Amino acid sequence: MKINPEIVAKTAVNFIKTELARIGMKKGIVGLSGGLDSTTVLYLLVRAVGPENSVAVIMPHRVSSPSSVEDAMEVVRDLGVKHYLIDITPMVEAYFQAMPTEDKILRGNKMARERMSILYDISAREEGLVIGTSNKSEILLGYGTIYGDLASAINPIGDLYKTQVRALARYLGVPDKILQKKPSADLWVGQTDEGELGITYEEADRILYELVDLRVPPEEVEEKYGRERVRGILTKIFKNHFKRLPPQILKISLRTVGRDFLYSRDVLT
Amino acid sequence: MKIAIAQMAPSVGKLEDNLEKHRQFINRALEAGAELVVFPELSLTGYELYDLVPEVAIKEGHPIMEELKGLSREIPFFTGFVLEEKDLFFNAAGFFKEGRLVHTHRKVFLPNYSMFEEKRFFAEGENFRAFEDKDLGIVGVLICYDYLHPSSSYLYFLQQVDLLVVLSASPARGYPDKGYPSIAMWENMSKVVSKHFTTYVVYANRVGFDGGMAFGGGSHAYSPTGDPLVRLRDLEEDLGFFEYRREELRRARVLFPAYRDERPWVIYREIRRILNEDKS
Repeated sequence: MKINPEIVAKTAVNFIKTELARIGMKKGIVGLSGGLDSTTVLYLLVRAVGPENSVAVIMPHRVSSPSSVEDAMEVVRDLGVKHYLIDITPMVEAYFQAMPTEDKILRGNKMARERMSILYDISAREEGLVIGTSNKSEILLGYGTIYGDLASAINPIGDLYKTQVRALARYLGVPDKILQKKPSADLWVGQTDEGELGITYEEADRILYELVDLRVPPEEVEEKYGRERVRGILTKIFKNHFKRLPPQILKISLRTVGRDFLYSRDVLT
Repeated sequence: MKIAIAQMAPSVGKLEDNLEKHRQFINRALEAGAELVVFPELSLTGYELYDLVPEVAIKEGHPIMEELKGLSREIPFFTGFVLEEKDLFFNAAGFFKEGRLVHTHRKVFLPNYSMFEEKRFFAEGENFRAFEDKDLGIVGVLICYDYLHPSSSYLYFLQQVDLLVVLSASPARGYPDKGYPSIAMWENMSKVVSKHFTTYVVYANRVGFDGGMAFGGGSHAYSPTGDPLVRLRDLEEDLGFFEYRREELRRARVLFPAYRDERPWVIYREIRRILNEDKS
């Protein structure tokens, strides 16, 4: 599962360029957290359309780690891209005043969806496309919020595992500080992906690669990595499958959207 | 004779735009002194067509078919399009020359696995008929997945083809190390087929994106002794040329008399036996 980052970067940059041109937009919009994935996508976007057409949106909440905003601002300055810094605390807390909860998942999901809502608003204001930043590890494990951070128009890193994104980021010149950061959704204090998932990305990616890409029978993968571990991953993959799909539509007619009304994403009149 | 490979990026469903791109490649090929141009699979329509298939199909009398014929008065070319015949739709490759559609191949092996769903939308072609052209000699045409079945090339070998023309729309896939593994796969195929069937091979693949699939490019040509003649870039539009020298065919076949030594009747009998065998 080693990648040649130069070739992957070239493919991703061409993809962003082509899709923006097809849709007739110049700009790309990235929600920038100061973490590895969004920084990598912003670097790709700048390569594709230049800093003048790249927009970073930094959306901290008061529980976000202060270093996240600092790192994101540093990236914005390094790359010379336009940015918006929008504190989401007032909007999110206004809602939770009416609907109080201390449930971390509920609070985290709300924050992720608030950010999505801002990204799409800025997308319309800037006439730009929201570029997705979810990687293959998260998408497969379902480690994301449906209609939140998983929402985007196009995603150049969605078929790369987290460990591969790191290799790509290194090639693109993403700062060391960000390369070495512990991955975190940063939705509450002290949260880390690996802590929540109960497995390191190195290990999860190996297992996912064998199960998904190579289609090695699960029993064989279990022998190698342990039954509990592999079962845990399989459960996550399928329990969260709905997050990867458009809504299920009840079929009544002869031609139903999504089932037998089939056109390429790239069919535009 | 100079042959051009037009590694183009078509847009899904945009026939006029794609036709215009054909014109541009043809003009560049003409300027370079080429006498034939090879375009990729479905270069007129784009690849990820799904329900668009009947809408982009062309048949005799269709204005775009007539435009293609007109274009072939400037230079002969192979191109990929959706052919409509008796309300059936084929993934087709046409050889256009001197204002006529001279030869048509309908894709026989329609891939229906992984990201491919061609059988759902296309009718299957039923034959591998070589044809003779006064400038090119005996020619066989294959479309993409046809070529991954060595039996297809073998049938053309038995018809003593001089030039095997492969039109392809192959997505780059597999995590790349030196390059995308899928691109290397086609080159390996051409190395073997050209040498062992002592024929020129020209492989034209497309580039660009359909629905998130990046097509690989890496178009190429091989000589009848199995030597690489030209290799186009990966992942980007490109135009490449190679010299097609029919006298090379004779030299290759003197060196390696594969056709003389072939025993097709043995193969035929064995295939019949294998197919008739009671497997229950």
